[in-house]
Amino acid sequence: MPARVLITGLGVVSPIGTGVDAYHRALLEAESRPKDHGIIDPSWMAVRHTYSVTDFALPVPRGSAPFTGRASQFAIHAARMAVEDAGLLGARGAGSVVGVALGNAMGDDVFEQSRVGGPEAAGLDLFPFEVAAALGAALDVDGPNIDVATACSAGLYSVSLAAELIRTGQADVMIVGGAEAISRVAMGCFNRLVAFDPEVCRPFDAGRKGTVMGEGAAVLVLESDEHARRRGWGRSYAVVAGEGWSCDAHHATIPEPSAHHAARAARRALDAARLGEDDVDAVLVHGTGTDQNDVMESAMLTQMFGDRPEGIWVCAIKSKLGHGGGAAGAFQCLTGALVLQQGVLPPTANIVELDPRCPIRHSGAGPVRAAFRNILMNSYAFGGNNISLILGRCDDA
Amino acid sequence: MREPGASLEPVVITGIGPMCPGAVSVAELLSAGPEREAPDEGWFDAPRFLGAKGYKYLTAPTRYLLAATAQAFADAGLRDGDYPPEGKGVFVGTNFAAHRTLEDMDRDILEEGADALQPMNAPNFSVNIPSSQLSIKHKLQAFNITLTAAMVAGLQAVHLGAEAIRAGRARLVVAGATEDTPTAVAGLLGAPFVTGAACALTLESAEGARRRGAREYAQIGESFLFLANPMRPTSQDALAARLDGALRRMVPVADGPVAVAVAPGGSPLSRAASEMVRASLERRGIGVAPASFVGASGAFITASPVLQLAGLAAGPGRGLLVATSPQGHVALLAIENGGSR
Repeated sequence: MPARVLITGLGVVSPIGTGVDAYHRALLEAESRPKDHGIIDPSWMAVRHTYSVTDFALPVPRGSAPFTGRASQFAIHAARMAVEDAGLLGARGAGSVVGVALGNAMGDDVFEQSRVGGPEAAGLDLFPFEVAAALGAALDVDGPNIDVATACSAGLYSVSLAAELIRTGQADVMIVGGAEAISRVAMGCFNRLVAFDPEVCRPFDAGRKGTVMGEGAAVLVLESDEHARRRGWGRSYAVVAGEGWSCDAHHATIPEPSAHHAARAARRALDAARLGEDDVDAVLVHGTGTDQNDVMESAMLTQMFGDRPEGIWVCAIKSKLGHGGGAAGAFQCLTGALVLQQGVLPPTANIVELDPRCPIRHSGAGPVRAAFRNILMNSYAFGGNNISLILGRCDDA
Repeated sequence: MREPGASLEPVVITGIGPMCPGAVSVAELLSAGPEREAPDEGWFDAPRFLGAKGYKYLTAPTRYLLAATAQAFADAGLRDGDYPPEGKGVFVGTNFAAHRTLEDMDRDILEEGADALQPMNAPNFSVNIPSSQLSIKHKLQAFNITLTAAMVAGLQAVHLGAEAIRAGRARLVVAGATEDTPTAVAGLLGAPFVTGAACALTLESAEGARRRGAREYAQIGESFLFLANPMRPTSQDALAARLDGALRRMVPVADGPVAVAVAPGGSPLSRAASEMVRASLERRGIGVAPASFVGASGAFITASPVLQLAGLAAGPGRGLLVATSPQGHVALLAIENGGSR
């Protein structure tokens, strides 16, 4: 029988706060607006605003050690919080296999910084897509070390790949999630593709014009139930119940509009979790604010849950965080764990008038309080790379 | 690591597609000498593998991966209808697949602004575009996953691709690596030069391969993924002990020699790890036959270890691959020759 995979620790560095308590409070209560934060020169591109991390100074200046790009620093800081939260700081059992699987889309920003006056990239910094290795080195964990680069679905894929390593006995504990830093090139390309909303990230709103970039890191500690029991640890947020993968193979940037493949991933996640549609109480959607994603994702929700007269609760956290790229799915997963533990679904901000092509039951202005049993999360990415993941409530916690 | 003796659903390598200077076929992979000098860009004959047109906006590593996969499919005798699209997935490792694209785009933005970017080229900023284009080209719809880790990401792709077949997520997986030519990292790898290249393998369940009468190069065995922290070097004894423990599971019985390939051959960590592997196996009376194929220097970055694995798979007997990265990754992957079964 495969191991049951628990979430036993959380840590977060986000545009709305650092640390799980600050993050959760802001997600439930605070206003969040994107700002021009100054790293993008007005001569470079028209849309320059982002949801940026502002309350966290990089602790290690570049050049003083390897692995010091902004994404790696976010990951390391969030992971230290998560490991402490799980009671694993310095308390790792002898013989335990502890690894890292981290989602990240753009790598570390060492080259971009070097072109605007930063130090020349040298040594290990010459390998910029190494956020997972940076984290493994910083935490001194020597198990499997996997950097997942499936663009905007990388955060959820990291959780799924790590859960599989635990289920198959190849690891006891996996430090997972995602980290992303604002990238000048990604900003430029989204400008060129006219994929940004010039005002705010407003998934499912009729007036939405695109997404808005975000950044930060969300890190979770996954642990086999047997390992948690062995070390006498009784507190967990949620169970990773099952995941489904699929690929549109349709277009590099545009989702396949029928939502057939997105729905396939969700059905497969339900099958893996041995659950039916009626067992899912809420969806933490991908919800980017682009026209195509939100219409496609709504179609997928209708296919899956359309026979419920009142619909299923939907929450789009990018309305507060912006689009965190390779960290986006990790933010959803971390938030899902909190929803299950605390019984509160965060609001979805900025829906003034719901797009009639998106007939969803969104969480709107106020948080929704209920004893949620299972939460579905979706991530969709460039190349049509889809994943759905289900977290279940830990009744034995 | 799994319990010793735990049975794995057999997954086999049925097709090999090398695409590097010196080897664009299995025969060349087995006969090419070691790489010594950087090739000129003309080594890659795009029309030969990709046809006359249709790839203007595809980056070099995307083209290498498409060409390598075309070779692997042909080598495996795979036809489009052998498996349904939803049963076919992709796992690709890389570190530099977007490297030159990101550099060129950033210079354009800094010098002329984002309006200077070509909209048709804009998606290429994402490092997972090579694997995405591969899925689009061949309708590989089970999944499409890109991993990044210097040197070992291609092996992780092979291991996790085999695991995905065992978990029932796909019946056929294209697994491999592709790279563009990065800023000088040759020194960090101990390689004479570095350049873009790719290698693709087709993985199938043994049952699926037999049902379509495919040749089986080798069965994929246990793997061992480990990070030896370069900031706090694991003591030599501790690394040797971990490798020893892993090898007892990966090569459980002493029944004949093991062919061992190493990449990148010139790095200190690789040399140390391969010496420990040799000593561990010989202590148990298992002979070690050194093996080396084009790319062993690490010149093709993440594609280099996949080329070594491909060479081992095409050869006889048992094989073991040892790969390391400058970040401290140590990856072992065992294969059993299945060609004669």
